[in-house]
Amino acid sequence: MHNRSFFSLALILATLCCLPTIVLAYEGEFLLFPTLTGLHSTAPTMDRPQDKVEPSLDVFYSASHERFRFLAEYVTSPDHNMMERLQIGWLPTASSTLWLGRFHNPLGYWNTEFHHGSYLTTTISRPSVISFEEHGGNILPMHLNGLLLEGTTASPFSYSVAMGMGPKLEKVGLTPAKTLHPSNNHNQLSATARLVYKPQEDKMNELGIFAAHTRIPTEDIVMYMSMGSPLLTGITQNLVGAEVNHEFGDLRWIGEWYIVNNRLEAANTTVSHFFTSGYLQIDYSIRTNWILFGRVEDTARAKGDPYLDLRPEFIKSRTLAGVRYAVNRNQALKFELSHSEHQDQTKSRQVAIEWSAAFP
Amino acid sequence: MERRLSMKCSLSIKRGLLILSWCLLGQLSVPFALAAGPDLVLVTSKTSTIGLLTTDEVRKLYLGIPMFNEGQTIKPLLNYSDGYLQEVFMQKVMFMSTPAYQRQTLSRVFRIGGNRPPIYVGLHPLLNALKADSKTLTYMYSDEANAHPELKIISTLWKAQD
Repeated sequence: MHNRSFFSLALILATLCCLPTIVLAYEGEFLLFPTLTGLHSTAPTMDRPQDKVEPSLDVFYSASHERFRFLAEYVTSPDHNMMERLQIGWLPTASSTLWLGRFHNPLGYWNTEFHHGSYLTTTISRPSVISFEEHGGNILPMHLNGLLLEGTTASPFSYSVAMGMGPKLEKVGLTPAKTLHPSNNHNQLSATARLVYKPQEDKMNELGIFAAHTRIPTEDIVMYMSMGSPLLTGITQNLVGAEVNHEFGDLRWIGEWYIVNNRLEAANTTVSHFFTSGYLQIDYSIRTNWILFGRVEDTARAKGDPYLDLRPEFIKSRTLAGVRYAVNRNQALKFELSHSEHQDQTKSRQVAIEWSAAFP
Repeated sequence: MERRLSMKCSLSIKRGLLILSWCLLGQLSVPFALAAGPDLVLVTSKTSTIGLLTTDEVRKLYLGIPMFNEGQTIKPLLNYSDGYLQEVFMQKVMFMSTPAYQRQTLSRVFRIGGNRPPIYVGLHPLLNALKADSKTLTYMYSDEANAHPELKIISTLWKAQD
């Protein structure tokens, strides 16, 4: 535990020590991503009431000086305030970066491409399999605290290798390691690797595979079994997946597929089970400022999965459609209709409308 | 007789529509078929050691993919001093529209940090920035570049007669 606290503290100190060097040279980007979302759901949950208006602000700062990079992203909303990313990077070569800090787990396309900036995404909602820890029903670790090496090889491949502290499972859900409160962390090591084939570095098309191993400590969580409800001592999660992003003409396809195995450990028993989950989204630009979109999400082997049963709000299947209208250079309006089925078998329909922007 | 008249009428309407379409197409094609003029060149300061860069490398550089010269990062500057020049650069070098370019660079910075190339609306501030830092480069018309002896042409990005 002391080692983990020391590691987190060292991470913050290293960031703070390098910050003045970077700021002195001042080549920075300060970006604001405000979002205002209105939701109406036919089946309200604890996390999401029937009608909700949710403002949020994503504050992003990035600076670079020669071979050093600094990046910070803070998201604030009435429900939560969180330092989402806090990274300091060094470029050993022009095509690779070694990051230290809190970063987005390089799982698949969506989590590495879009982060929290809703303005950059076509849809309002994220696919449920990669929902953030702060939202109900999150099942995979989206943030890690540690080291991330990413770059491109001479051939058209890019890679990411990450090692760091993953989340722990509490009654409220998966909780990532707290960067700003390192002494509260009891999290354990997580590792992720991702390999992406990108035929042209200056184009968006890509095809990738990834794998992750996460040891998730638990806190006061009981497993639901027919033979009783033993207290969990920990979960080992292994996953592999594939991703695609392809654009041709006015069409764009984004898809991801995950195979997830969870081993739930209690004092006298161990249960292992796997499920698969994925989504396919299609965006179609009908005019310069208008994009129609649709997405299908589904999960196989979800029924009776002991891990997913711990997350009853998890959306195991969803169909959605909507439209995004670019008001001008940096503002967008979105409208989305969806039909979802949760792990606890509840079904809901949702209407969402959102204004998002990127300043300056 | 009436039928012949109506046929004549319809022929002249068709001819009129054809002429109108031709005129409209001619008008529309002006901004896309870039008129002949001076070449588009890549420039840096006379003291710079930045070597020859291919158009492909320039495209990557302007998209935010880092490139080093003698251990230091090459910094691309956006020349917005002339709207037409900017359009030529986007069409002929970046192969995308200005809004698409802005979205792509914003997305990249948000994803992996770094900076978007700074925009210079005036030519004088741009020339001063080039002079102040030998690791900077930009694009401009060849006659403009030749008129400033403190600048060095690295390569020709686009030939006007192409």
